[in-house]
Amino acid sequence: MAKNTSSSAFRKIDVDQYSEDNFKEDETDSGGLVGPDENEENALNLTLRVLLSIKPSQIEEVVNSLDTNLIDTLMKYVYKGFEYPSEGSSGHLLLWHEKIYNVGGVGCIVRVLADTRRV
Amino acid sequence: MSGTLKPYLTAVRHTLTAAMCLDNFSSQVVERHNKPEVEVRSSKELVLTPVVISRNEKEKVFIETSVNSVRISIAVKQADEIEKILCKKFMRFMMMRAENFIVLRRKPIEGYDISFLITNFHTEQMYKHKLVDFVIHFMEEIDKEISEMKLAVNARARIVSEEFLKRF
Repeated sequence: MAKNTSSSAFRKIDVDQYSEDNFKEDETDSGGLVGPDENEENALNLTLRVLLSIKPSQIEEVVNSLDTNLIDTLMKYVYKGFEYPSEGSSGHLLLWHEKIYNVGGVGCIVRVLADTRRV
Repeated sequence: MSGTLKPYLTAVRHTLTAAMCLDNFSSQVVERHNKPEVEVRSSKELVLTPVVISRNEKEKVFIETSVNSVRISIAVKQADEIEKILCKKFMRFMMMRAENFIVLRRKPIEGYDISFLITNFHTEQMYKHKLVDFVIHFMEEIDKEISEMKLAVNARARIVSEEFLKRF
């Protein structure tokens, strides 16, 4: 008979640690800036700067030129950008959010929520 | 400034619709328990990426999703001291009666004014789109309510001071 233990230590194991995904470096849409720590922060800053410098009238054009994977990544950065609100940035990002939603639908938001590779 | 209200609410609505995909999920730690994972955080893989949607520095919504529950925290605009007090008292009033609101959380998350906790049992008993509507409606009304109360307080203060100064 198998020995019954009350240990629940195995619940604490972080299964994500062993997933293959973690060996793959995060892809960003900002000119291949990859890697952890400061590079990630640089990528975020750069992406936000690019997002905010694009005129509202051009957003739709930009979004339409991207494929599904890139749209998901872009959505991640939009959500990340909401966390650091500055003068006028949120309004612009809300516009981005709306345009991306029009193309990607609910699916791209779900993928932002569910993806373990965070930006 | 009110120009950003509509896209703000739309973004929150879409995000909530995406997040409110809940399923019954028994506790992995205690037999025959069923707890909202977003609160107990018993395991990392059950909690999804939390997201923030901000309208400006002060007004934002924090949405945390897990396998069987969503926690929505709202920070309401507070321009001056009166609005701060009104907001605090009003939220306190509602949170003391949290069970009547069903989805209201008894305490807000730190840094926010009010929190909702929606579990899979709520989505089973109520329509999901109506729940989303409720949160959006709440956000629309709370700003209006607080500015109305502020006007009422100011109007009353003016009348009181007029009456008082008539004696001199």
